[in-house]
Amino acid sequence: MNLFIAALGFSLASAAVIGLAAVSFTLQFAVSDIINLAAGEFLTLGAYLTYAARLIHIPLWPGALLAILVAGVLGVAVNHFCFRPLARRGVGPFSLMVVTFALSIIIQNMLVVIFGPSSFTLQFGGSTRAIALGAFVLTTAQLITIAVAVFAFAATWIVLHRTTFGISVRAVVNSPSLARASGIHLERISDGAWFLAAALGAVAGIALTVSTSSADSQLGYNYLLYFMPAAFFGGMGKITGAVIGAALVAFATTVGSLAIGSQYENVFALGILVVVILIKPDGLMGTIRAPQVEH
Amino acid sequence: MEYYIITLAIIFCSDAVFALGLNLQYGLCGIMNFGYIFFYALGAYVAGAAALGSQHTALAHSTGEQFLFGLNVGLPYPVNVLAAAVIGSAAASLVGLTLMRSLRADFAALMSVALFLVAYGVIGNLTPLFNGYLGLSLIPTPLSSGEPSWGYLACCVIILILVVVIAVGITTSPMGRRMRAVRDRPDVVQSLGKSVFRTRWTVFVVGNGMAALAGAMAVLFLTGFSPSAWAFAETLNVYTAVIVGGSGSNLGTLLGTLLVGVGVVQGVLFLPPDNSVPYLIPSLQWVVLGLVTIAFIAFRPKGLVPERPPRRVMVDRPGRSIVARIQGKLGARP
Amino acid sequence: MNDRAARSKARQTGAELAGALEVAGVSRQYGGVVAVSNCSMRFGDGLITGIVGPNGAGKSTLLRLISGDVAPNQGQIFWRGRDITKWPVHERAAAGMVRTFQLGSEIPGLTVLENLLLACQGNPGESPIGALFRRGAWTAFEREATERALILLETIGLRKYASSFAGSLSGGEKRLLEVARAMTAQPSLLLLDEPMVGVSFVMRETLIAMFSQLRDQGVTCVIVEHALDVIEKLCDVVVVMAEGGVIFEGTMADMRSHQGVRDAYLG
Repeated sequence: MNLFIAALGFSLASAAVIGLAAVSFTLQFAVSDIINLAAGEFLTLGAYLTYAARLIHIPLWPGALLAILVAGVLGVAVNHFCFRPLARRGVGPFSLMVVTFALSIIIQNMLVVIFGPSSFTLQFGGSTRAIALGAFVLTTAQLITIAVAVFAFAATWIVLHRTTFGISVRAVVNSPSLARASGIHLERISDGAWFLAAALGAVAGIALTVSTSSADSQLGYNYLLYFMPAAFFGGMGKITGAVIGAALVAFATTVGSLAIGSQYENVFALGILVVVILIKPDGLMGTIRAPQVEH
Repeated sequence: MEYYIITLAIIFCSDAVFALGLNLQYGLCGIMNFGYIFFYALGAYVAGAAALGSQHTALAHSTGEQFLFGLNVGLPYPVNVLAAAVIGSAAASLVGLTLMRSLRADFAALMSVALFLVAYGVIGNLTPLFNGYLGLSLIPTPLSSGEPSWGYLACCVIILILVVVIAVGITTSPMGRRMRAVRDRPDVVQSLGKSVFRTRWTVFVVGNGMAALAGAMAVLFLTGFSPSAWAFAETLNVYTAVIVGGSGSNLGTLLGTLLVGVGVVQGVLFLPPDNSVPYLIPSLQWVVLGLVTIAFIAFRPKGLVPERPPRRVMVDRPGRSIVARIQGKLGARP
Repeated sequence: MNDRAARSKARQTGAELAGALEVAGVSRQYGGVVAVSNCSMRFGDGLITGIVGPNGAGKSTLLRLISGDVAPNQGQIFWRGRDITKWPVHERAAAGMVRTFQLGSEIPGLTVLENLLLACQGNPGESPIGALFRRGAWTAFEREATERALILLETIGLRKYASSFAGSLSGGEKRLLEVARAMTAQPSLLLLDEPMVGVSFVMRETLIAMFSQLRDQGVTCVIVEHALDVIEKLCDVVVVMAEGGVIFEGTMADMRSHQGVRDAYLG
């Protein structure tokens, strides 16, 4: 029983990070109908930008905030100058995925060119101090991660449900043509949504680095396996679904690694995915868009 | 110099087979298979392990490598290469049963990425299978003694020719037409009574069998194979080759392989390396490859050699009846 | 189920049974919106039935329920005495049910001729094994199919475009191609979803002639259309739908005097 409770505790922190990344990923899909294989790079960029801030002597917390903002801007740039123009030209979903893949390779390698191939750490004083909460034992870093994630989810929910911008985003996601007809400026909304998505990804990357203590250019790539099934499980494009999926993936992989050994925890992530595909090849909780035809 | 040319040629043969398999899936049938390199790896591991054969004890003492849980499945060349292709196709047939059912091809692509990532992790961690992250080594190259020989190159060329014949044969047949139709309008193909799933699944099996074949060809020459050889980023190489060369065109794919696989990857080796930053040139090479891919998709999506429909179609020539024209055209073909 | 097996299986039993197309109690909802509601009717074998009605009446949905593109929430569909409700699209098509699409369905990356050849059933070259090892068989098949296709193209005036990509045709020509392709598939049941959209008056006559010819050959046709003049020239039976249900079934003349129909269109 203790193992089970311990697993619940551990998985909370990873569920927080997976959730942030999954929401980021699924939001990008919802707004632009793109499966962005470079979504993991927002995580990596968040960590690297914080690191860069530290290199010019900006302390961790303000550095992290700056990093999140810059990452958001980069997200907007990527959508505004790359994905949207290409989609407008008629590049189909197949080729767009290849573009996102190429972009992820470019970003990973540019980071190596700029910062070198070695990994780095992001820590603050006392980040590894363990704190006992009943049966759970978590480090300060993990606790802060969970708190930040909860705050980010709440903030995202508020933005999407209580601000004009957020409601416009949901309108665009549900029916782009109707949204445009009712005067919503689609381009501005999609840029805004990408800012949000990229920022969430950056938060995930920073939190991940702080709580596991090191990052390199493969940070986001290594995390794809967790947040992609999470988003898919909840239904591509569905934000609450992504959070639920993240909890599931986190829990399953934690239990799996405790039971069998941490080298195989990714098998459990796959297990979820395989089950989902076998039951419903297009997502368990339904998708937002109808099946596409490529032209 | 001779060594270098043989090396280039063998690498080209393997890369070309690899690219042709992708062209069949992606270029001609619109199948998004981002886990493609996994089948290459599977073929390489199978052929490599089969070539190492029963040397478990000997190797345990020299390199310490383990494979296939200690089972002896030694196979001579070219049976081990054939076995690799068969096992690759078999694995694809299983994977394809679920993957090819997806209504949205880009979802299937997502799944293929996830499957690749897990396979990579499992093989890397499961040391008794293929020696984990260290991989296999000391694999003997057939038809040579110490150095790769013209003999092995000749065999690779033969395999390449065979694969080209198969690829072109399929492309210029009614199957090729059906594949292209599935790529463009799967809903219409369904409405004409033809199963889209069956088409995709079949192409998936054949294409990934080719990938496994390419992996087998490569590993016997490279004499070693580890997860670093099939990292996800390597997928970009083959996709760039197909996209630059001309997706949908077998000839274009061969050209793309030459330009990217040989031209870029080998050309970079001629640049003077800066030993203070040894990672700089390889990283920049990836950046260039990525930019080239995006540029082609944006500005020249058809690639250098655009796809053309098979030249079986009738051309108007006045003065001859339709029937006579048809018989004349078809009769003239070899 | 293998394409050819399904088709021959259906043909065998079809020959024995006097099979008409029948929908029984079919309903289809999308979220809260009811598109088709408890619809039951028989479509006469070897007749052309036209389905008309105001927008949102459920005509296209009914057609898509029959073709299998959409599954009913309730009800069943029978054809040739068999319950085809659970059959996937390609099985129905392989059994002889061919449809056209509202927004056009030419395959742009294939030439006009290839579009027609694609519709041929039972081509031995449509598998890798067949393509590589049964060359003689499919070459002969293609030769004969190409001949028939070119003759068909000649009759509809598209012969000169045989080697052009289908995507380069004009809207009306694409329609003609679509119908020609449907004919090539040798259907026993033809479902036409607003075939006259974007077609010039001259081509309309050509299409009407083609459909009539098909009916004379024994093909059952169901046509959803807005243009009542086309319905009048073509259809043996007219069905009027409104708000997801059938409100009238009979001849054109009877339809004009039917009060319910007037209300549906004007109310």
